[in-house]
Amino acid sequence: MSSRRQREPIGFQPSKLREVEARDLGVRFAFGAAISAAAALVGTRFGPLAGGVFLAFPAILPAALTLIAKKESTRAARHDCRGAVAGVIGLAAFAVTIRLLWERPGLALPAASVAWTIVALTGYLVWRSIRTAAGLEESLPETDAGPGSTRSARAAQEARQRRTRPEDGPVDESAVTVPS
Amino acid sequence: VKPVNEWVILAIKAINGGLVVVLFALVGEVAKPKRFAGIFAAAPTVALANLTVTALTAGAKDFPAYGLGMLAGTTGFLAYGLVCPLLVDRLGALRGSALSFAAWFAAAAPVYLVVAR
Repeated sequence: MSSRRQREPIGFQPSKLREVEARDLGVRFAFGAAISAAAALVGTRFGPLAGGVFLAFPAILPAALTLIAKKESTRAARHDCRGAVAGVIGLAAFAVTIRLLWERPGLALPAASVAWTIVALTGYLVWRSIRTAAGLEESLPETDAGPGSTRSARAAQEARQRRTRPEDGPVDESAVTVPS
Repeated sequence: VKPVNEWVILAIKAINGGLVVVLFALVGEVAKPKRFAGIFAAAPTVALANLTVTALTAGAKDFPAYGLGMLAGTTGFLAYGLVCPLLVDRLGALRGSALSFAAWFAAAAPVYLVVAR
């Protein structure tokens, strides 16, 4: 058996939208509106340079992390926080792009958004590859899914291990039961 | 043409900011794994919301200054992102993430003071 941990694939689960509560979105809207207004006020009173500083203020993170910790775990909140670092590198690319393309306002913001996406994704993938190469990448998808999920991850892992032993023959996936 | 009231612009920026934040929050909710979802917590939500309204109402002449200021703020955000997991571990999500603002300020302020000269 390999000592390297299995890494969870990157993807999107649109079905999770059904779990989003309106109240959580309301909290995020309120934080977003407040920091947006604050940044606009600072820009009006003290100039665009000072206003720009607050355009990169992590105002919504406490709300997001608190909600994640409440719904999932502190560990999940910590992971969200670490992932934000890749997004921050993209934020620098956004800032540089609007500085360079300001004479073409119709192009500046779309191009800056594309720059953020490319740099943030690349930063995340590079960081993930380094962690994987160092054997630090974690973990199975189920481990972040909530109480009881570790057991189901373990059961699936055991089923996979059994399947790799030729003397046992094929494993019927439907026969795998998770202890309650 | 009558100029748009400053307070109306402020209100539009606030509502726009809230909407863009919610949009990226939804993307973050459906993204996996959690660390990948974290990228969307540092999306340029407030910047997009504010600068779109600024471009439409006052043009883009101030974009270079906004961009320079954003680079100072980004330095602070990077410090925040590095300190935050440690404090969240020790103090919990709310207190840890709130106290990490000190790291943002400590890193952003000196950079701002240097570029403002």
